[in-house]
Amino acid sequence: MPGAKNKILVALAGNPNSGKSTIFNNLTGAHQHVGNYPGVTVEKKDGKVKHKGYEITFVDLPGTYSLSANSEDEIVAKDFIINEKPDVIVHIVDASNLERNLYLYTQLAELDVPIAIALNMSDMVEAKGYTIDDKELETLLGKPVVATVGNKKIGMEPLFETIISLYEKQISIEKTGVDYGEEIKLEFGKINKLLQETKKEGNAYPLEWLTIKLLENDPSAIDIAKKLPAGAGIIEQVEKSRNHLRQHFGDDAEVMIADRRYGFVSGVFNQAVKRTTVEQRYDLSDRVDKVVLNRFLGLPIFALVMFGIFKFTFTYSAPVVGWFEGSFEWLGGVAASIIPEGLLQSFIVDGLIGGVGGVLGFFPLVLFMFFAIAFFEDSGYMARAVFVMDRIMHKFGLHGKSFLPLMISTNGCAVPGMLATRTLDSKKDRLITMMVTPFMICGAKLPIFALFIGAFFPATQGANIMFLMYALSVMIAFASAWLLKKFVLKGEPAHFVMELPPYRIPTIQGLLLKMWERGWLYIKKAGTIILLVSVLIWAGFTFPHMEGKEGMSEKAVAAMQMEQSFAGQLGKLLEPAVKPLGMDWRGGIALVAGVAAKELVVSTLGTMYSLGEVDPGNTESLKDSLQNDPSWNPLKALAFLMFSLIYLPCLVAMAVFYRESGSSWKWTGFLIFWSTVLAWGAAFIVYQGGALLGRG
Amino acid sequence: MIRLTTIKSGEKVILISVDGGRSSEKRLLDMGLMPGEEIKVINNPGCGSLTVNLKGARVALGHGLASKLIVREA
Repeated sequence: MPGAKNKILVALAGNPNSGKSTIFNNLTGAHQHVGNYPGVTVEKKDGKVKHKGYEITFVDLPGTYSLSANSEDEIVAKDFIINEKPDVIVHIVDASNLERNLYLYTQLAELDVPIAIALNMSDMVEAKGYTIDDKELETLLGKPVVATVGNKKIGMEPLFETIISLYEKQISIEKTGVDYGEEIKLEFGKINKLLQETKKEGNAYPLEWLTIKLLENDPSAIDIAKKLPAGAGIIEQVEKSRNHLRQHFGDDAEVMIADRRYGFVSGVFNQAVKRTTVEQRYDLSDRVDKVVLNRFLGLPIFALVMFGIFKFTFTYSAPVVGWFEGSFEWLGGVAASIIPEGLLQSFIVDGLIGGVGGVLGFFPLVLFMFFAIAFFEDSGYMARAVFVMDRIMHKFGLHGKSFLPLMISTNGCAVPGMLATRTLDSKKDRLITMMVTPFMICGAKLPIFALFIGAFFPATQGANIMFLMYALSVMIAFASAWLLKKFVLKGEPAHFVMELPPYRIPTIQGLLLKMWERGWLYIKKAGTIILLVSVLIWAGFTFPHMEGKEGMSEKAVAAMQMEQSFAGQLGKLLEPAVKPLGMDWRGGIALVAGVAAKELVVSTLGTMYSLGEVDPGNTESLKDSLQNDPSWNPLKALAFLMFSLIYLPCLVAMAVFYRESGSSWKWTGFLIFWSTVLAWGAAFIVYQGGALLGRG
Repeated sequence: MIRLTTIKSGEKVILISVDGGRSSEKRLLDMGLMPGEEIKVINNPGCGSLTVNLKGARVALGHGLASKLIVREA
C-alpha cells in the first residue's frame, strides 16, 4: 500500500510456465494466504514476509502472455496492477524462452510501476545453445536484472534487495520501451493529449498504457475511456486514428503494434544473447512429443495416463481412507461411552462425528487425486493432454482448454474447476464449460458413490460400477455441452493456440504445496459449512422432542421422533416429488441438504441412521445400516446415485458460477433448471425402467 | 496457396495470412502469429493439428487454426 512507510506491495507477473509459482513459494515460504479457490493460479494468491524492516506483500498474478483482454486471467492480472498500483512489479522471465517472455515486458513497462526482472531458469539457457549477457540486458531494458533458479532457490536474496532498493528509489530506472514508429507515435500523441486533460478530473490510469490499448482497440481500455467525462471525444479520436493507421499500413493498428513490440524484443534478444552453438540442439521434449502427440498413440497414451491417475488415487489411498474412517468410528464409540446418554451425547455422536466424520474420512482420497493432478501439471504433460483432447472436445462444442476444468473437478472440486476456465478466450466456450463442469464426480460427490456402491453391490462389481459412473458423468457433460452449443450458445469454439512447456521433473515442495492448497479447501469446507449444516440437520431431527407412548419399543420411539421432527415433516412434504424416483422422504431430505454441500448427502444419512440407532454403543457403519434397511435396494440406490450425479451444483459452486458468468441470473437460473430437470428425468428412467424390467 | 497443415516436420515457412479470419485476432498476435513471421514446424503428425516453433517457443496449433494459416516457403 503506498503511503505506509515500511510496507511494500509487490506483484509477480510473468508468462505461464515461467516458474513464477516456484519463485512465489520461495519468496513467501509458508506464509501464503490463498485467496478463494485457486485453480492453476487463476485467482491471485498473496504472501507476507518481513525483510530488513519491511513488510513485503507478494501477490502472485495469473500467468499471462500479454495484458490485453483476451481472457479472464489476463483481465485479473491487468486489473490488479492498474487498480491496486503495486510499488514494484517483479517480472519473472523464463531465460530459456526469452523472446516470448519479453513480449509481456513491453506492456508491463508502459504501466508506470518500477520493474525488476527475475531472469529465471538461467541454468537452462546453456542447454539451449546460448548465453545471456545479464548486464547488457539490464542496460537495454533500463531495469535491474536478477538471475534466479527457482527450483534451486538461487537468487532470492538479491531479488529481495533489488525490490527494496527499487522501493527506496536507490536504483534509477530508465524509461525504455518500444519504438512504435513515427506514424503510430503521431496518433499516439493526439489521443494522449486528450487523455492528459482528463487527469484534472481524476483519471488516474497510466496514460501511456491506456493510449496504446485504445489504439489496439482493447475492449477494457475502451470501457475506461467511455466512462471519462470527455469520453465521447476520445473515442472519436481513437476511431479516427485507427482509420488513418489502417489506410497507412493496410493493416489494423493492433497488428502493427504487436509487430513493433516483437521488433523491440528481437532487438534486445539479438544484442543480449550470444549463440554458443550454431545449430539448436534437438530438444528432448520434442522427442517425447513425437510419441506423446503421435496421431495414433496420442489418445491411447492419454487414456493410460488417466487410468494411472485413477489407479494411483484409489489404490494407494484405500488403506489411509480405511484408517481415517476407522478412527472416526472409534471416536464415536469413545464419545458414546464417556458422555452420559442424552442431548449432548446425541449432538456429539450423531450430529458432529456422524455428520462431519463421514465426510472427512474421504479426505486422503482427495489429497491423492490432487497430488496426481499436480504431478502431471508440473511435469508438462497436462498441456499435451489438453492438446490431444482438443479434437474430441471440439466435436462436442467444447475447447481443448475445457479439459483442465473438467479434470480438476473430477474427484476434486468444481469451484477451482470453474475458475480454471478463465484461461479460455471465448466467453461462450467459457460459459459452456462452466455449465458442464458441475456434472463431473467431484470429491464431495465421491463419498455418496463410494457409500452406495459399497452397500448395494458386490465388491467384485464395485470398481466397474464406479467406472461406469465416471463414464456417465463425462457423457452427460459432453452431451450437455453439445446441446448448448447446438441450440443456445451457437458459434465456433475459439482457435486453439497454446504454448507447450518443456517437460520438467516436478519439485516435491511444489507438488505438496499445490496438493495442500487445494486439499485444504476440503478441510475448511468440512469445518465450516458442513459442520454448520450438520448441526442444523441434527437439530432438525431432534426437535420438537417427542414423548413415546406406553408400550412402544425404543426403536419405534426413535422412528416416530424422526418422522415427526421438523426435518421429518419437511421430508414428508418433499416425498411426492421423489417417490417416482424410488426414494422415500429420507432420500429427499438428504438430497436437499446436499445442495448446501454435496458431502452433506452422506452426513445427513449418517445422522439419520445414527439417531435411529437405539444402542449408542453400537456404532454400526452407515454402509451396514443402509444395507440392512429394507426400504433400499440396488435399483433404488442406482436411481439415487443417478440423481446425485446430475442435480444442482452445491451452493458455493452456484455462487461462483453466478460471479464468473458476469453476475448473470439468467444463466444461473438456466443452470439450476437444466440440472434439476435432467437429474429428475435420468433417475426416473433408471428407476421406472428398472422396475419394468422386474429389477425393483 | 500453401496451407501450414501440408508442411512437413522440420521445415520452415513464412506466414502470409490467416484465411477466413481476422489476422488481427489479438490472441494470435500475442502468441506471435502475424503475417511475415517465420514458423518452424516441429512436429506434424498429419492429423491436422501440429506443433511449431514460434518466437523460440513450442506452440501447439489446433486443426481448425492450422488449416487456416496460409504460408510460403522461407
